[in-house]
Amino acid sequence: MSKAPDNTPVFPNAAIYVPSTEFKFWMDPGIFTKLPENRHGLPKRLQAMFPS
Amino acid sequence: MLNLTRRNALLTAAYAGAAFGLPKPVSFIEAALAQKGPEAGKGFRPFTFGQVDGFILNDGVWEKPHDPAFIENVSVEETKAALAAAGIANEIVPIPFNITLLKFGNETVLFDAGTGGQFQPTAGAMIANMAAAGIQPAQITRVIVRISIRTMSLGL
Repeated sequence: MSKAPDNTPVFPNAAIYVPSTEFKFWMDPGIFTKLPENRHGLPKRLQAMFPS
Repeated sequence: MLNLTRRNALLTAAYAGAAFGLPKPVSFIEAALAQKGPEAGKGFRPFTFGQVDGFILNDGVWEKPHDPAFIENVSVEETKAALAAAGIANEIVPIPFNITLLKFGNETVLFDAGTGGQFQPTAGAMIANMAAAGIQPAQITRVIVRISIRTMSLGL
């Protein structure tokens, strides 16, 4: 994804594969209560960009 | 999917070159370090693996300040000594980011997405190095994100 807030996919024709444990961890809406504030950036962007 | 631990995943990334039988994977890392950051347009190394054409693409390096909590059971002094013994400048802990790309049949597969230039000022050259290797982002058919930490997924 290009720099926020643009978040354009860098690889527009690619299927993206993520281990399911990783995917569930980062896409969980509850992650924001588990991580400190300064770690919220990545999950916020991942959740905005990818279908859950 | 292989059940890689974080440590194994990092080691896999660091030693992918050696695993694929590259003649001099270390010299590539040294070149990146000597540059004190990404060497856009030069940081890639082609290899073949059976019917597969591959590239190791350098994204740059994280010049991580020494931190006693970073490597468990090893002191900063021991880390510095180990770096010096390996012929690596030891003022910081250098963490190079190298991404593997494989081409076979109609597939062009990338293993990890790099930092996207959004993690360290000394990293973010993967797309430029991919272009220098003759491959555009739109040609990538699959991206395998092994672990979704910033250094591996911001470049998506």
